Amino acid sequence: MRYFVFYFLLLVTVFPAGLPAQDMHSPENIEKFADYLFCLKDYLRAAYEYENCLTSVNNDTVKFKLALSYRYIGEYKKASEAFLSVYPAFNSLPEYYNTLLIQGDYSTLQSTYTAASAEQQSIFPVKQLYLYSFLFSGTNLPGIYEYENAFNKNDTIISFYKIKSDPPYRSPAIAAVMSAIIPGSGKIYTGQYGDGITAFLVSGVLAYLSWANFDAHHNFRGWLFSGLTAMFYGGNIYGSAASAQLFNAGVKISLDNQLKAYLDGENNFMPEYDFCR
Amino acid sequence: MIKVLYQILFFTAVINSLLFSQQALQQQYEYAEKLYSKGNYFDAVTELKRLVFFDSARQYYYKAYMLMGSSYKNGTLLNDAVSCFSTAERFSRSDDEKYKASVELVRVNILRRSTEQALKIINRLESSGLFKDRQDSLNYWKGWAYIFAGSFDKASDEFHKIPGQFELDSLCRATDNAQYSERLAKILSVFLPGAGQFYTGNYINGIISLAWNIFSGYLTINSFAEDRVFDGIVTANLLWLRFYIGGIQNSEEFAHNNNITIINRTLLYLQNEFTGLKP
Repeated sequence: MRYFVFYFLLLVTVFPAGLPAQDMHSPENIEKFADYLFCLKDYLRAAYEYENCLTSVNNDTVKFKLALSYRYIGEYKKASEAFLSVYPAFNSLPEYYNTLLIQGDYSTLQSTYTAASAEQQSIFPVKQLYLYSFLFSGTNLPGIYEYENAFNKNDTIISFYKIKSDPPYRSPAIAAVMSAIIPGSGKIYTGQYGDGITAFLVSGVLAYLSWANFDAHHNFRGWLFSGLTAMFYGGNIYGSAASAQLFNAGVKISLDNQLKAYLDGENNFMPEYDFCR
Repeated sequence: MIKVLYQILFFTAVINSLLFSQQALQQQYEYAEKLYSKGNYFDAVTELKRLVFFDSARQYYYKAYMLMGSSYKNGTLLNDAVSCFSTAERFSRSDDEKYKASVELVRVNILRRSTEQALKIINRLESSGLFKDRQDSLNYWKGWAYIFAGSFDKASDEFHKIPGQFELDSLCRATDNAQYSERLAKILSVFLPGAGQFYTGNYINGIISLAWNIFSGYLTINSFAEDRVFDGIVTANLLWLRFYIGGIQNSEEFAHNNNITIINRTLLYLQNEFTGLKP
């Protein structure tokens, strides 16, 4: 024992570089540093350090954190691959689906789910993410009972479903026809009340000026105001149809924003990880 | 004898450990510095963050955060640079270090046009009473803060306080004098349509504005004179008023655009030809 202590002290004295605390680039210290960066939300650097760390160690937690880092920096393809690489040793399948949802790759998400085994489909919240993706994509929306079952009759989700299945769109054709019959009414139909009333008044005043000038035999001014009336009238019909299209786009954008906000609020149905506690 | 030998070995080992720890941190800092000098700012920041993480005694915090701030600044990540210089300021160990970090903070705030913040830091340094011998330097950065805020008169006043700082003083004074008054341009057009455009040097626009006002004014007055009251009201609203108000807005816009051109010319000179210290 005495000899051991003696040689150890001698070794440390002669070769101080052997002291473990100084090696900032050892795999353990690289991992610690990567964790520090991860918790600072410096995911780009964290990913680089985790990659470095994985060249010398094989650790599923590190791989999982690397996948999370990739996703935070928008490297979705790498993130998906990394999540799949640790499954099933690590329960990363929900994060794989979550990545596809965040990426907006709804078709891959839906086809992957359809092709998955019943066991994989039953992992929480894989089914929830699968169903939620249809609220974004809007194609082949599953039946409402599927949502009621998967989300325990959650009122918010059901209201999203109802908006998606029967969106309160305005028809551009109806808006145009309404404005052709009563100038401005098409705009009112699309919720543009101020524009509708203004269009009605301007068209009316211009038409009256045209009639009054013809009546007073001021033919030039009569034609001038007739031309202006026609321009306003035609422009208003076109504007009403465009307004209906904008209204419809607004409905879609508003729903997408609400869906994203809800998903953020629910942390994408994912558990909270305690990597930074 | 053996006991003494053990003691010697033990103390040598401890001293070696401390020295080597210090040396490793120093080497890490030098490595980051090398990356910085090569313009590899991203990697420099990574290595500096590594240094900060392993520097448990916080000996290198000031130096590391200063260099990290400069790296971010050179990479135009100004908000991150502010955060680093603030941290460096917090970990400064002398008045000189504190002053250097604060000045860097001022410079970055000038660049990101947070003039109020820059002036607040300068005022804090002035009121601390510790840097009375560096008042010229503080006035200098105050002047630059005003330049970036577009207040060339105030900038000139600050540079005027610094002995020998004629170049920036006269440049700011000249820029201020060359600028047009947007309010005057507007008022001139209120009293005589087109006069505001003449004031800003847009003569053709001024003539056109005046001509449209005379023409639409004639149509309006003629309509009223011939008892065509409705025509008169409509012409006045749709024609005369439109040209009259449009002319006023137009002259204000010309003055504003001219001022931007003048300011940009000055900033371009400062960027490319001025050889003194810049933010």
